[in-house]
Order: sequence, then C-alpha cells, then structure tokens
Amino acid sequence: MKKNLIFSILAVLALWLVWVVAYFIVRNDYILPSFWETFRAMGRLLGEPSFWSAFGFTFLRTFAAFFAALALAAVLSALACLFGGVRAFLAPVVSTLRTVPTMAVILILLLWTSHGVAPVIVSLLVLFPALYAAMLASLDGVREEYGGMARAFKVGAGRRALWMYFPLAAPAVLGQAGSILSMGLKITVSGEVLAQTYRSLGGMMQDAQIRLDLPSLLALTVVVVLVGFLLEGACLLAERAIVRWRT
Amino acid sequence: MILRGVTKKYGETVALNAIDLALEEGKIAAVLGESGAGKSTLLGVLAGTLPFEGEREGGGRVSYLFQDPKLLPNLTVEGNLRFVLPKPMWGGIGGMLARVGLAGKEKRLPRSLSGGERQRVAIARAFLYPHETLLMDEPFSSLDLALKHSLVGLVASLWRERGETIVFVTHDVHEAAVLAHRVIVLKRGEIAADLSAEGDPPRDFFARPPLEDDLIRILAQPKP
Repeated sequence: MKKNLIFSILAVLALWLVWVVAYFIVRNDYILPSFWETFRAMGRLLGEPSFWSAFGFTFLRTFAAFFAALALAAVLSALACLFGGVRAFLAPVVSTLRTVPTMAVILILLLWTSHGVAPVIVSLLVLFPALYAAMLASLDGVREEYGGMARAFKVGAGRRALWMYFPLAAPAVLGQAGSILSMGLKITVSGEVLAQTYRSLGGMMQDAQIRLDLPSLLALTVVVVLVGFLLEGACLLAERAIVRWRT
Repeated sequence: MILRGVTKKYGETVALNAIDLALEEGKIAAVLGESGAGKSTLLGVLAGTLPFEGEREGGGRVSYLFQDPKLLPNLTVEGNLRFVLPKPMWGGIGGMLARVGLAGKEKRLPRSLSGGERQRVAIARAFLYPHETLLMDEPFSSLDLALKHSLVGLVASLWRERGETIVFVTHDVHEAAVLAHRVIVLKRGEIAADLSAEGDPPRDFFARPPLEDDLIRILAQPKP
C-alpha cells in the first residue's frame, strides 16, 4: 500500500517534470504557460465567486447524469438479467450508444434542448452503457454462483434482490463507479465546452480559450483532473465503507 | 416418490434411460455412480428442476444440501438461514445452529468459518427448511476424512430425529454404504443395481459396511 502511494507520487512528479521541461523547450507562454503561472491563475480562479458557481453547476450536472444513468442501468440490467428478451433487445441499443460519436450527439441535442441540459444528457448516454455492462456482469456473476441455491429454496424475488443480488453485485459496480464518475465529469465538461453552457467549467474553458488566457485554461483543466481524482478516491472509500463483509 | 419411465436427453446424449424407481418414505437412498452416470440428472429430476420424459409422483416439499455450501458471503450464519426460511420459522434457527455445533457463531460471516463449519451451516439450512424430502448432491465429497466422518454422523443423527426421506448422490462407495438404507447404482443412465442393507444407518464409518464389497464389484464390472 505504502509502496503504491510512493509510485503514485512519483508518477505525479514525473508529469510535473514533463511540464517544466516542455515549458523550457517551448519557451512561449501563449503555447504552454509555466507551472507557476498556471498555479497563480488557479489561485485567482479559486478566489472568484463565478468559478465556484460554475464548479457547483458542473458538479451538479455530472452527478445528475451519473445518478440518472445509474438508476437506468440498475433497472434495465435487473430486467436483462431476469428476461433474455430484454437482454437481446438492449444489446444493439447499448452497442449503438457506445459507438455513437459524442460530439454529434451534443450538436443534435443542442437543437432539441437547452445549453445546460445537453451536457447532462450526453454524459448520461455515455455513462449508461458502462454502468449497464458493469451491473449486468455483476448480476450474472451472482446468479451463476447463488441463483441455483435461491431457486432451490424458493426464495422470493424481493428477498433475493435485497439480500443477494444488490449487496453481492454492489462491490464490482462500486469498484468501477469512481472511474465511471470521473469519466462523467470529463464528458460533462466536454459537453459544456461545445454547448458554451452558462455557469459551467466547460463554459469558462471556452471563454479562456477565446481570450487566449492559456494559464486559466490550464488551471481549469488541472481543477477538472484533481476533482476526477477526488471522485475516484471518494468512490473507493465508499466501497470500503459499504462492502465491509469483504474485508 | 415414484419415477416411471423417466428419460432425460441432452441433445443426442441419453443421460437417463427409462428409469423406474420407487423411493421409500423416511429412508435414506444413495445414488452411486461414476462421473457422467446420470446421478446429478436424476437428482434434478427428483427435485423437479429439470424437464424430462416420463412420470414423477409424490415426494412433497424438497430441501437441498449442495456440495458447495453456497452461503451468501454478505450475510451472517443466522442471516443465511433467514434468507431461505419463511419468517415464522426464524425462531428455530438458534436451536438448530446449536444442534449442528455452531452455538455462539450466529453472527459470524461465512469467511470467518472453517470449511467444515460452513458445511454445518448448510446442513442446518437443509434440515430446517420445511420439507418432506432432502436431496443432497455429493455433500461430503470435498471434505477430509475426519470431517466427512463427523458430518456423516451429524446428518444421520438429524435424520433419526426427523425421519424425512433423504436421497443423496455420491461417487464414494464407502459413504453410500455407511449412510444409506438402499444404494441405487447408475451406469450410463440406467440402474445397474439396487441394493438394500438391513438396519438403520449410520454404519460404523471405520469398518467395512456390508454393501461395500458388492458395490465395488458392481461398479468394476464393465457394462455390456
């Protein structure tokens, strides 16, 4: 564990070093700002109320998309696990959602919905296949291992769902939730950039790009990366707290 | 429980071929055979979980003891029993756990139990679940000799107290001869022999039970 932490810190230091070396090679603040300039820009941003408002709304959009995708995936994966017909019906739908270009969906959604809603829907559509696949695989695993026993003892559907399927499928889903949630943040911000959403990190990025304010653009990117890390860490802690029977 | 002309095919493969069998109520029957003889398929037919050609009659409610205890890892010992039992029967859990030697371990999770203790939980679950017939699928095959001896004794004593019909499949001749009133030998989906022993089981685990030599001879005979 301690060794892994040391390697993770070394990886962050290596990335920082690449940035510093690249800065001294490029030597052009309009192409690649220095680490310190970016750090100062981040300090400025963190002091602005508009940043926190944008941060809050982006966060809300990400969570709205994630939990909507989670609920949809939970219901549909449960139905797919129970009924082969539902599984077969959803297979091409999920494949299509997985392969459809995100940018194209955002552009279409911008015609149909508002600038604030389009990033949420596109994030939902990207996250759903990942969550659905993770949940279905977990539920299939539980059924394979314990389904025969539950059927043999004629355990009711409610008791099976509550005591067997949900708790036993949860660890695998929670284990992937962090990376899926952080992917959701990335997609939401991309959607916001393209939709030029008002009060959003993506919108602020777009604004910084138009003003050629590269330090702010990089600072916002670093914020998104750090929040992604924090979300992954929080999900890991949640998994440990919830799934105590495994430790 | 009575089976008449039961045939079960998996594609072109005949797993059971026109089996006629009448199982005596309140007795222990062993279904003995090598791998692929049709033992588990016969158990599935008796359980009513497999479709088949022919007739199956009687048997009442069925309970199970699997080779793997199949305990839910997220539930305690008590929780695993509650999971399968109707709510009005939850009151009997403590007594049954004490009976199988697990008193004081009600709140333990399966991962903190030994293999033998986990199988004891499964035995408690199988005997407590309301049933008239208990089906056991190679319940002792993955256990070491000492544990097998102890659990065969436990199953036999629980049967003496309760008197249900028990059918178990095994490939272990000694286990069948020790625990069963009657041993049905399956070969390639057909009944090759049907032998009964006198008196109630269990027989002395460390002696050579009366049926054992006959059963070994039958199993060793090549089928024409």
